[in-house]
Amino acid sequence: MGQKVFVSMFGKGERRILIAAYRARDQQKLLPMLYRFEIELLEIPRIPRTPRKAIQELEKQLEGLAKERADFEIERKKLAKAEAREVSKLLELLEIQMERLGCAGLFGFTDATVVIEGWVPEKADLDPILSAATNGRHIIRIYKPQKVEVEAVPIQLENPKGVGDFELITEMYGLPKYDEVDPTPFLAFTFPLFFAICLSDAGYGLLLGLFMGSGIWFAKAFPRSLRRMMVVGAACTVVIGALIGGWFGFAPLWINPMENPIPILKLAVFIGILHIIVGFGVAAALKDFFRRDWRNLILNHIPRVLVVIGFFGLSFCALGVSLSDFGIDFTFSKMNLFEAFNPLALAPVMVVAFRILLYVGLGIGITGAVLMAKGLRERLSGPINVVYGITGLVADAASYSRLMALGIATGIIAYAINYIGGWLYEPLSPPLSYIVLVPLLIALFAAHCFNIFIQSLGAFIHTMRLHYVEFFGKFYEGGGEKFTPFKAKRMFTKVKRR
Amino acid sequence: MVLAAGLAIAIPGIISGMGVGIAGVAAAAVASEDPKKAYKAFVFEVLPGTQGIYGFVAGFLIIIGAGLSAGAEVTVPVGLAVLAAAVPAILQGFTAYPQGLVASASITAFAKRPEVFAPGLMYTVMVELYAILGLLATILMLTFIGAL
Amino acid sequence: MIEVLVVIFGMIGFFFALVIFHARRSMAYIYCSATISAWEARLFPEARLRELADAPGVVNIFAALDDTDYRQQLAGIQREGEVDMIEVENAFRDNSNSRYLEILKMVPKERKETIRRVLQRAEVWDLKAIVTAIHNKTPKEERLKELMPSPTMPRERLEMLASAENFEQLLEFLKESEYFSVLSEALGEYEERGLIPLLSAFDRYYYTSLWREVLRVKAQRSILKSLVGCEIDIVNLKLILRLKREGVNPEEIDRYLIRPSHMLTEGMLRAMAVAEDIRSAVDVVSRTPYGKILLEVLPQIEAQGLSAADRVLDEMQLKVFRWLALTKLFSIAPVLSYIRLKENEMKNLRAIIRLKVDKVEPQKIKETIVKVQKIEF
Repeated sequence: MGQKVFVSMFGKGERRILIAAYRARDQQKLLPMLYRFEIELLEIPRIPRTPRKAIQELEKQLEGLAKERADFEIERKKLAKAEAREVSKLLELLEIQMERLGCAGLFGFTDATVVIEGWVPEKADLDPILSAATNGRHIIRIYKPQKVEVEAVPIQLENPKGVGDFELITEMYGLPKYDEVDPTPFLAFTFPLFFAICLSDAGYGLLLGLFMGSGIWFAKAFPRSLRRMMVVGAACTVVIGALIGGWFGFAPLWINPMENPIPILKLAVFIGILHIIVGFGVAAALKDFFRRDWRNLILNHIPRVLVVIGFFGLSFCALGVSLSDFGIDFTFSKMNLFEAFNPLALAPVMVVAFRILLYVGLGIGITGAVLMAKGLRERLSGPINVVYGITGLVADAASYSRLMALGIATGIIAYAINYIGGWLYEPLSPPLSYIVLVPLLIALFAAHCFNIFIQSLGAFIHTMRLHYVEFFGKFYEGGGEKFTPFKAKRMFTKVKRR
Repeated sequence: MVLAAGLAIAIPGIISGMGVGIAGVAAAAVASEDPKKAYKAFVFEVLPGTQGIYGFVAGFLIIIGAGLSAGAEVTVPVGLAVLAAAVPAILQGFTAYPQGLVASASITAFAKRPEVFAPGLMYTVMVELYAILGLLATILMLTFIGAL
Repeated sequence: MIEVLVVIFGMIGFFFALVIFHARRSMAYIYCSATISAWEARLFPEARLRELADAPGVVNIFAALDDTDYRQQLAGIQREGEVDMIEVENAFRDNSNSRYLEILKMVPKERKETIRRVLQRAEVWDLKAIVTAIHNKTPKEERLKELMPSPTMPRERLEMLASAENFEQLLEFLKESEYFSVLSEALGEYEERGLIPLLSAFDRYYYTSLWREVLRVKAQRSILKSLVGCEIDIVNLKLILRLKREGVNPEEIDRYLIRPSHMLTEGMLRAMAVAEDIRSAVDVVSRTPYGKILLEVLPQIEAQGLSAADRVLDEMQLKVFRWLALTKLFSIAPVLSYIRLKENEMKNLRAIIRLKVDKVEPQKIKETIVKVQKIEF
């Protein structure tokens, strides 16, 4: 067959073009062979013209089509402009109608009555609405959730305006259960504070606050409550930054962390310990109070507070921590580590007081753990956990040191930016320096903005972590479901009241 | 001493680069499938970068603190002490890699279920504590040596 | 002085080596798993499938599918009156094939070939369909309808293979492909014992070649071994149970089994093959994880037939795949898991549409949905 087939090959790479010319009647015999080499057939359209002309014609056609397409596009846009509002209105109405109909299946019916069951916020006053809708022919029964229902109650947080913005943080972790404490008020206080210590530069705080407070489009990408939260945080940053951070890396009022970071470290750890104490002593105690769980309060949470105070008191004594940095003339009496914790060794009154707190707390905690445990295994493991919890406390307190480390990092990078700027600018002589000044300032500003971005992101996330892990871990359970009232979501339509 | 500063800046920088790179790859993959999630994935991507910054902070502290920039003479014992003090800051950089892994895992999980954004963030930040402690240790040691 | 430097550099070097070692292994898969994770978000959750089962008619199901990735492929399909199931199925296949081809592009080079082998399943299925058609002397037009689009073999080639008049011609067409020796060896047996050994030969070839491919490269080998091994085991189990039910003699069963098996030992397979009935066959493997779940549904198997066994085995396989995909995030496991999930989704959608066309009541349809079980920790 060789002489009846002419083959030539073009192109390169994995896929090549092969042209085979042969007599039509040989096709049946040849095809299988070609397929065996995994050759795909190219369907060539039958055009009774020369290739060049055909290509020209096709290109012309293509142009025409592209134009047609553009025309359609314009028409589409016109239509969208003219009808979009109408269509979205109708769509919305239809959606609302659909939701209503879908909901109807949830209600109980008889021929003459409808039974509607649902959750209502405690403060809501249903009577006037229902009376208006039914001409007074209705019966309502409202009751507080029963004990068995507590898990199922949807939650709506209720906080004053400034605090309400911080609900976002609580929501991200999970809403509280019906019988739990809402941690948002605590958050509203400590969150901006921690954020401020982490960012710790008054200039940065000012810029961040202005940015978040301004209504420019870029800022609007953030949710409203987050922006308000950040404004509060930024305001705190201005105050704290002026004290311990400085302005864009320049001299703070009180302590310069780059020269002497120890006071800030102390401050961070003190704040952390206070935070832990609040977690155990106030938040957890409040929860027990709501649940009327007195046993848990007395046997578990109060002893924990005692242990925290006693343990850290003794630790500070062992380290001989001094408060003179804060302008308070007070030093924890310095003791040997083993002696401080040894209940029998002689010691000053302060140490003895701390010892009493620690050991009484431990004692009650251990008895509590034994009393509340169910089963032998828990009876053994409970007390061990109480003692072991102390190591957890050390880790928690150490974790708060990040407040200081992040603050210093901000300060140092700000300082480094200024330093490099100054190093570039200083050797320049007057004519050149004037020209360079403006771009240099812009560059400095950009660098500071970048630092603000990175550092406030870090500050926010680390503050969040401190709350979620160190603070919420002490008392918070979460897992409540959000209260989403049944209502029509209207964006394009409005209800006219008569 | 120059060595300490250099290492403290360079090593965490490299590893941070790797961490950010890993998270970035995952973020890009998710963004290509679901552009709406791109910006939130970006938050994850930035996180492993902080180790590099901490390294830079430590390095800069050494440069400034020791007056290296002013061309002061440095004795060998002080230099060695500073180098030793820089070790935590150098090695903390390696936490950027696992953090990158956690970040990209979190991005992956986030792509599947948008509601795990906050927990994913927490998992990622958990790793960072150890980097911070490393930086902290270096700063404290530098303070106590008197090189600050 | 020197010692300090050596210690510091040693530590840095050690950690570097650790990081690089780990990065080399998993780096390449990160893009893959993240993309696939985003795709997984778009798979139909069970609740959505149930909604579809509740839809009043097929038209509504298609309308719902128009909001999904299936839109493009379903565009040209007639939706009212006579629904052409084969066309629908091919549309689903086309959709998943486009995904598979993307996967094939994404997967790191070292394991590309393996994934290709996994995806060859459709190709093998088509070959089996062609062989059956030749055996039954089905006319060519009918055969073309039976073919399903394969991600690894172009349509033209499939059509060409389907146009074979007889086995000799098919053999001629397959010359120089990997299936040539499979078919030529099995043809000898075909003359003596009919169609089934021929089909079984293709299946066995698919799995043994896949297994060989798994073992070929070191990267990801242990994960692939447990995944592919699990699949082979389950195929073997299904085969034995079915053949047992039909009362096929042990040597015959032994001949159809796929070797090497993974968790089931050679002895177990042989013991199962010679077991008296299904119950005693299951007892043989009662120590393995497969045995445990089979024992649980044994009463159902005896009452309703093997579909119960098939279902639990399928669900178990999905679970194994998903478990590895979750725990070994930066590996090949999510890829394989996704392929399984996608196949499962397709199977479910197909079943729902087909049953809807036949006007089966929603409750019955819901029962047929193969669930993706939640993994409990």
